[in-house]
Amino acid sequence: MGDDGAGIAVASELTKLGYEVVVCGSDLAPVVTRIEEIDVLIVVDAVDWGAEPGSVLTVKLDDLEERRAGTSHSLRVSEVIKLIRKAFGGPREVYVVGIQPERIELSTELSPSVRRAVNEAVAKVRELLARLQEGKG
Amino acid sequence: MVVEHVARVEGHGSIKVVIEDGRVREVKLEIFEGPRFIERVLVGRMYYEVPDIVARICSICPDPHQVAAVEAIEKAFGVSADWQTKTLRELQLLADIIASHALHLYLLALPDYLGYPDALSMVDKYGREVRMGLELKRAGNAIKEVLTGRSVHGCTVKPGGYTRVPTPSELEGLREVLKRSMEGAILAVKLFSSLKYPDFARDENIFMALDPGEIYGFMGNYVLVSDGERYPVEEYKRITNEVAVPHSSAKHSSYKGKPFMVGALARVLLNRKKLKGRAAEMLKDLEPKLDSLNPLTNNLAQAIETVYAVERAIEVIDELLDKGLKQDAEVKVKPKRGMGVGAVEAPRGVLYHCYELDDEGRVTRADIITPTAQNAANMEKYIKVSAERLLSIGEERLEGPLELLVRAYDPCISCSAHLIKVAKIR
Repeated sequence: MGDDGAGIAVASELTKLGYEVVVCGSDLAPVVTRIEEIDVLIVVDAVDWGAEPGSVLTVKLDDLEERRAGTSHSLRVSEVIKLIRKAFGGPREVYVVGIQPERIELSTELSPSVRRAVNEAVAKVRELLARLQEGKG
Repeated sequence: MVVEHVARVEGHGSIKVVIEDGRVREVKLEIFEGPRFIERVLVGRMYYEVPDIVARICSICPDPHQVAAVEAIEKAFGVSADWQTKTLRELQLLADIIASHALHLYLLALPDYLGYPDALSMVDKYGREVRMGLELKRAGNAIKEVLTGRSVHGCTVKPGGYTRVPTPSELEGLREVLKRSMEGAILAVKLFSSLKYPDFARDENIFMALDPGEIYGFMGNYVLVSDGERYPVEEYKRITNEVAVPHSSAKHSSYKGKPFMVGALARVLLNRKKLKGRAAEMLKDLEPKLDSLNPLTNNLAQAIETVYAVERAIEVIDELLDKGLKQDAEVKVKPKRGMGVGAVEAPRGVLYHCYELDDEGRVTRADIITPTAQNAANMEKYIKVSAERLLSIGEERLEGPLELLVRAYDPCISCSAHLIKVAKIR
């Protein structure tokens, strides 16, 4: 779905750099199957917050209020994560690294603005991980 | 009255009831999920690409789509997979039944009966139930990850066999996960058998389900109908009679001119004698509650099936471990011109895949009939019956009961969106 593939593009770059990334596709099931192993969860996805296409956002899930979608297709990502946290008592912290999409439509290509933002999002995830590691130490 | 966007179903749909002079004039279940033209996308693709493409039809039930596709292609080529591959396919279908029923029962249907707008709102008071539901879904997804490499849109399913066969220790791990999830399956039966199902929708119904053979299951070569008929799956067109309707991107089906129902209730009612173990024991006491005239009791049938699926999955794993897993179980597939029909029971009912292939194994025609498309006309029939009976309680109070009714079918609207052929374009 065009720029909805932003998360997968970032995941593929992170994999090349040696990170272990879980690609969830359209279901957070892989998060639930690994729930005991996850202390901090970083969700990387296309996020529409009305910014310039290709803008990159890093935010704690608790600070994000997801707009009720115009449709009721399944549950929202933030709702599912809240549900998982309440039911299993984790992950301890959840961050969202989002890329503002330009177009969500039937296509296998990212738009140029989003393609250019992939590296920035990769850098943001790495920064976040480094900061979290430091915090631990 | 219009219910815009029925909540807690997979996909986008709405219910439209036209009331005139205090009477229900017209009922439409409008499905406006964009058609994804998957059947057209498949034309020209090679047979081995098909399972990966059809998985994308739906993220809730990619597995039945994959299994139906490979079964159809093998029939077209005149080959049959060996016991190990067939057994792994059964396990894959069981995994999908567990994951999908868990999601529907605990997270989508239960809030209705407990009086909450959604699962998140009920988690504080019903944390145990939500956790059990997620644990069950997790067990189903764990099987999918081992068998197909991913919990959604797996990538090891090919005509002839799996490109990777699980190791004994992986299967042993799954057996433990399944054993842990049994509590959630049994709790689902307890919960859904203790509910009072309103009877506003009671009416005559016709059911269809695959004949699984000797034991209860989700694959078969014949379709059983509640009027006593039995048809080979190759005759699927004659018994589903799909026609395009203007208000929906899903086609509507009829059997002998009447709407029919597929899904858990149809399966349990038609194949109840083939159930065994805990599920069969539980059914003995609950049989009166499974009302063939009341589609709302589909939820209870789903719960019983979940118990069966968990138990059967453990049994299947034990059989595989006993026999020993061969890594080279793949049957050689040699393309040839032909046509094949594969049918499986997806969580929501019978799913048909039919392919025509050329000498090189390229798809020349594809036809996919999903359970929700088959159920669409049946849902409309029951919406009409219910709306007529409920009208006396006030137009403004119709919405809740009608949504409850549609949700009981667990409709997967995203996958029912199905190619509509255009006769002429200027």
